[in-house]
Amino acid sequence: MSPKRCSWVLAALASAGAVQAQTLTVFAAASLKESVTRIARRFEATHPGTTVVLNFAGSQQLVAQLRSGAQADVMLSAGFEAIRNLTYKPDSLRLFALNRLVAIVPSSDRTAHSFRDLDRLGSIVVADKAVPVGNYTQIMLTSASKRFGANWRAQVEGHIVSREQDVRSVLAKVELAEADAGIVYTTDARAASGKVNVVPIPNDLNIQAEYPAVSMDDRGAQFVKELFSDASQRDFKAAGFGSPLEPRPTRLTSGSLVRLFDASTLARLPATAFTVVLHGHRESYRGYDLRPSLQKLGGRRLKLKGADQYEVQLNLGQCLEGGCYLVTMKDGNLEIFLPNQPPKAWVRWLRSIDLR
Amino acid sequence: MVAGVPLLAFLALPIFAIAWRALGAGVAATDEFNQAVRLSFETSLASIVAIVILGTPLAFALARFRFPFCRLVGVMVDLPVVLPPAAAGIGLLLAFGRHGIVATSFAFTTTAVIMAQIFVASPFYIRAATIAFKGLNRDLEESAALDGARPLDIFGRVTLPICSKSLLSGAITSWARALGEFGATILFAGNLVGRTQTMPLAIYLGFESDLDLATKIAGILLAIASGAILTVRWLTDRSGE
Repeated sequence: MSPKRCSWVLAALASAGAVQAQTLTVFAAASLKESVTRIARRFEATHPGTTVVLNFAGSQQLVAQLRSGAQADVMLSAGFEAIRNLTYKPDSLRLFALNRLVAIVPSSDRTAHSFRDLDRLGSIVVADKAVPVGNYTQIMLTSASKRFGANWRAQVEGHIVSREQDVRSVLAKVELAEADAGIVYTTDARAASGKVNVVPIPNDLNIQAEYPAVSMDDRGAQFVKELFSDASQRDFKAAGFGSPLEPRPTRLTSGSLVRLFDASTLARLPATAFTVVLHGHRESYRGYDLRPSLQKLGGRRLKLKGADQYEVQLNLGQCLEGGCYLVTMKDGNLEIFLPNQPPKAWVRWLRSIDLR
Repeated sequence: MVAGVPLLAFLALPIFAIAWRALGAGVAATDEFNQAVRLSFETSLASIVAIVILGTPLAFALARFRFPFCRLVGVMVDLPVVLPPAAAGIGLLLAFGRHGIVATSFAFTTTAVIMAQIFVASPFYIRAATIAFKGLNRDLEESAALDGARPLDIFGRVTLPICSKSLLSGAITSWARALGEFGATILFAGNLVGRTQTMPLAIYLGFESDLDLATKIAGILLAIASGAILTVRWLTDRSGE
């Protein structure tokens, strides 16, 4: 077919788009099963002629399939790590949902456990570190062992009887009461409510799992847009996902002085490279060094507040000593890094810095 | 003859691809890899010993005796060949899990790996043994009986030696199937390095994280499978003589 005729045919196809049967292929992390299935059915209803084909598995496995030649229009991953080596449309990355970890026990186990009791449960099932939830589990256990001791960690690790290939396999094995406990996402526990009992993980030990969406083409981008519709975000919320926050500027206030920072201002300001130790690893970041501004403004105490109402109070002197950097998060919000403070003082989705 | 070429090419190409990539993949043997190989051999050998010891009497009974529900037993024995291994895994969990019909604590242990292998692999041995026992010329056994030999002696000294090649080839096929078992294992035994992660499970998880390692293991399994088929062929050619 000549290129000319080809483009003519394409134009005809495009004009007939409304009635043309189309298939949209969505690869999604196993933990998204219920909510994304609902969203896909609604997408089909609002886009007549479009069939959404869904493929749920561990994010890492989906990426392996894509890299081996599988075709998809959208990839919804349970973390950034999995999609690091994936080719997608530049600038198509959007953060659309957040999740956290919980421990679960079979519904037949009516004991009121605290998370610390995990070392006393006979058999534990977790996800393999190859999948995001397994990786998050490792990070969470590392922070927990700092509080409960290395012995606690060794006990827990010793009781792990299987490392499953996706989070839903962990859930299934606890549901069947074949294991005494498992670590899954909050949303999985909610999807199986009644079949498993939840043991919450203390907030400061927990992780924030982020779900990025990337699209490979325009049709995929349409589906990603749908993820942010009110109805879709309601579905995610009902399933127990956290909502990613719209980027908003951070207000630095000192008395009557107000200065606003956001991703675009930070991009224009000089960036300094610094390293932090995070979950036992040394990692390098680039961010805007706030110290000169803070020094100039002066004061004694610093109050940091995140969009999720998370609040931290610090001595200004501590910040000036160890460094204080503003960094743009992947979703366009700002985060503050204080390398000589514990990571729980690093407020994410930072909304205000109050200097007194 | 030419009409056979497309399917032949289709069957040969993936085999060739594994061999090609596996030879090219110069991966250092990691600890995980060594443990998977060791575990696979240990469990599959344990399985085949159990299959031969328990399967031989069953095959003999199926070949020689008529008993109530004889046909049904034959179907039961053959069923795992066509039953999807994942279904077998669910079945094993529901039967032998902690809350199974026969509640045991075998799930997620090396024993569970062996149980899964026995479940999916035993039909291959039982079938081969049944055919061998059925095809045996009864005159030899009967003349031994006339000479005053006891039934167990006849079985041990006449029946088994004559059928040995068929039994051996059945056992090899069955062992190769046990070595490749995946679906029932991942459901019933889970995945834990050194305890339940056999070579096929390591391939599956390696596919996500380390394709070279996965290919290398696939290459090893391919070599073993080829060796098994060749040996079985050789044995059946000889027993036909």
